[in-house]
Amino acid sequence: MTTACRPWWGRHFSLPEPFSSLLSHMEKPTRRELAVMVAGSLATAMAIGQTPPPAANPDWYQAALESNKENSRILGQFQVPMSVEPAFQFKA
Amino acid sequence: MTDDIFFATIPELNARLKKREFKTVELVKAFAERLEKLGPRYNALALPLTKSAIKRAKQVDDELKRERFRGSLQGIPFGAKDLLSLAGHPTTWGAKPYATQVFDETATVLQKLDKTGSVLIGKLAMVELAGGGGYRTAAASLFGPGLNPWDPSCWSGGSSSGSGSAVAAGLVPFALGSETSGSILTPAAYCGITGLRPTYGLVSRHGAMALSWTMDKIGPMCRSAEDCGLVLQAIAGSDSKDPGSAEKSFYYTPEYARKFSDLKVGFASSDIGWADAAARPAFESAMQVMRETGVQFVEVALPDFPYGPLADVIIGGEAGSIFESLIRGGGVDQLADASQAAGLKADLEISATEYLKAMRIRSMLKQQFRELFAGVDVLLAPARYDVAPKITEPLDGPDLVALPIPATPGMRRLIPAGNLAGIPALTVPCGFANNLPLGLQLAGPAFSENTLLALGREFQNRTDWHKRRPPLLS
Repeated sequence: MTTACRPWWGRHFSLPEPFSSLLSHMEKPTRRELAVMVAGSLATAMAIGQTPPPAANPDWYQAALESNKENSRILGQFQVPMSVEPAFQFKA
Repeated sequence: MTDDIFFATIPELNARLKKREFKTVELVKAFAERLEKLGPRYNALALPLTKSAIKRAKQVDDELKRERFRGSLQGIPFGAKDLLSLAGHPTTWGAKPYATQVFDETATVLQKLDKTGSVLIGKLAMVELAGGGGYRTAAASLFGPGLNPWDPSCWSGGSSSGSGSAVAAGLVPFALGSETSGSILTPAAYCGITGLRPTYGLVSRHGAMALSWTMDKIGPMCRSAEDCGLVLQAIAGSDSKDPGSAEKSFYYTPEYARKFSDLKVGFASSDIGWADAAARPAFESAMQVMRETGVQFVEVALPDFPYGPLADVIIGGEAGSIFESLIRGGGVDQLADASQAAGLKADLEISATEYLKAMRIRSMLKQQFRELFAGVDVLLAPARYDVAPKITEPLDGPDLVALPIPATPGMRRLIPAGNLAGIPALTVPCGFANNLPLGLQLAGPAFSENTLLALGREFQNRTDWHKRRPPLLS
């Protein structure tokens, strides 16, 4: 099986095994959960005085948010040792 | 001048200029007229620069007359993806919100090419914002869908769509493209040309639209591997204006290439099984040609990482920051592709924690690629596993998954994997399926461009796929 993620250059990415099999056990957030998350982020943005992003076609925007959450869940499975730093360096 | 000139390689054109078979002005005029006439038919032309090109060509002719030779690129016309700034001219990034944008500085790569005496004849169309938000239609561009010269009902690939079409149709001898995750390799493979994605940091991005600071690369799209080497030599090098610069130069030295019998080429035997059925015979033949060069084939597997989500989070996190004012100001809604606009808006919701997690996993990925390259010198795989899709097809439709599904993933994710690892890759035309071109990808460790180019050149010495010409629109 393959699992589609948010398209990058245009086509869906498909995850290699064993990630695709891992994903089949995961649940997607419900629309209600997504709505709460979106409302939360908008409220946060307004609270700090930023303009919230303009509304898009709700389906596309929801799909993109859902894809973000999916990505987050996939990466969340990775155990990264504390000693591993991000792949960029600050140089003084 | 005959039509042959439009499909000649850089050394061939340069030799004829030196022999004074024609002047630079004549060559530049011929290409510029062709680009202006045929470029719009493929939605490949963003901005013609014929007048300034002819002026520059006259200067080059004066230099040639005085036998002041600058190298292989002297007098060669070229095109550049419209994400590169050219002082005093519009640089649209392929997107309506930036349609009238003008910079007062010229991108480093264009300055470097100017110093070699090559002549910029036009800016070339591209997918809006290099596809930063994740687009779902070929029409995601200010200039309309990039049309494939081999079949204009099909897509040229993106995001360097105009660069791919223009080289394939003989509108420019070479072009510059850019790649964050597939934007050189994909249009090069779909259009049947040779494309090189350099090592991250080898080519300055100063003056180029930023999409992802840690993943953007600029590279050549040409007729042959040798042409790519010549162009890369001209555009590579340290640049204090690019914080990502690797502070390294590149000299194209095919004469010093390693013996092919010493090269270990990593491949995955399951790869062909992932390809579109019509494409498998061509890929099998291409692999056989590679074997006949004398290289040692070694079965390998890509390290197991979620490449797609990693690329999404990293590029999305950086793109969200880069285009924050466009997104919050509402300009994003002027983009041609609504899903791309939505994707950019959603990028603002990627948290710092998520981004940093992805960048830490990327460190692990980088280490595993180093270990992989301790055992092999080159990775070999299809550039794309299918041919160019129809422009009417949604690009985010279900993946065309091979049946039966091969037991292992093979190298299917080599494009996002290679981009995340920052390693170079070359695609060379390797055959056809359904009358559309296919490309073979060679990837190697950082700064192994000469090895990839030498092997690519040898493949092209043994085949003629790179010499095929598409039927022109009537």
